[in-house]
Amino acid sequence: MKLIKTKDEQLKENYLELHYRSIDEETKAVLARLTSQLQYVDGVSEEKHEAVALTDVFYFESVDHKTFAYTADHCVEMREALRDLAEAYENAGFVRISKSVIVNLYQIKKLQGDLNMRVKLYMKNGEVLVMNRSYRAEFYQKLNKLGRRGQ
Amino acid sequence: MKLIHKHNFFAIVCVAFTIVVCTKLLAEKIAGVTDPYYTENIFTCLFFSAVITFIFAAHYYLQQFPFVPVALGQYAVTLGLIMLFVWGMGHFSETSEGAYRDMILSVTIPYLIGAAVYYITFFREIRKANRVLEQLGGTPEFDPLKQEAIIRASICTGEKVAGFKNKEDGHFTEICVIRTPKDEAEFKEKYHIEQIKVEY
Repeated sequence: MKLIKTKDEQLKENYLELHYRSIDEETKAVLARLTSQLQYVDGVSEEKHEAVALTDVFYFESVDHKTFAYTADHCVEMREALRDLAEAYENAGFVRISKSVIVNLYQIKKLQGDLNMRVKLYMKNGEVLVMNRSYRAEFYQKLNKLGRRGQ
Repeated sequence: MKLIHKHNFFAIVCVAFTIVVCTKLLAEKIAGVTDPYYTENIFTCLFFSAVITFIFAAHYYLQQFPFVPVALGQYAVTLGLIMLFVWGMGHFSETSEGAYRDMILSVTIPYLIGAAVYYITFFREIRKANRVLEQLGGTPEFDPLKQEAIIRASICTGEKVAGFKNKEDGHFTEICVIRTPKDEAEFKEKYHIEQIKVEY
């Protein structure tokens, strides 16, 4: 797939246009990545409605029957349940790592294991999350799938 | 994910039993000994295969707890049950002098091998996952303690790629293609590198 960038100073808003003959695997991967970049999630922060870009969300967490989206510097309370968010954003790189946390794979800096077979996720904002052992298989499966899509 | 469940339990017991008996026969052949309690020991192997599979199946329900205490606890329970069984059998038939020692070794050695394999697999999975995360994350960071910056040049095509080579396992992470001296200079400036080795 060729990438052609054209600078046009007359434009009021940037836009992306995809020309295709048929949607193959490569095109699907590009669309999936682009769609997640352009998606927003709505929530409430400090009693004000806020729309956060999905790519800025580091992880969703359910606490006391409320769901929160955590970005680099603050958190937003979501209307949706964690289960619904997991389903909706599965293809955007979000995967469950415990009963109450769904993490954005693109925002993980590195993984580290300890002798108790716990996997710690070091996020790009410095936070550390712990993955439950029972979600490990699914996590690696989704991560490898994303890795293959990106190649 | 439940690895051992009611649908595959007996199949796993059968496989475990087969492996245990084959190992037993091989060990006897190598040592040149004949088992005087062959029938009793075969049924003992079957009983232990079922008990150990059951104990491992319970691991799924213990995943919320730290692994080391769970593993040690399961080992203690397994060993305790086996010792109890041998002690019980001793009331009905003759047991050899080294029965308890042999059973401890028969449990401990495979357990240690299994634990070692489990740990190695666990850390390898993490290393592989970190490589994928580097690709997903865009521009990887450079750690001079663990990596060295190199330019890989193809002898056939002459294409040069700059990246970081892991000093421990030699894994190479590609960063960018070097077409001109300017590309190389930009790469060096970005990662604060003075000299880069070229590999062919």
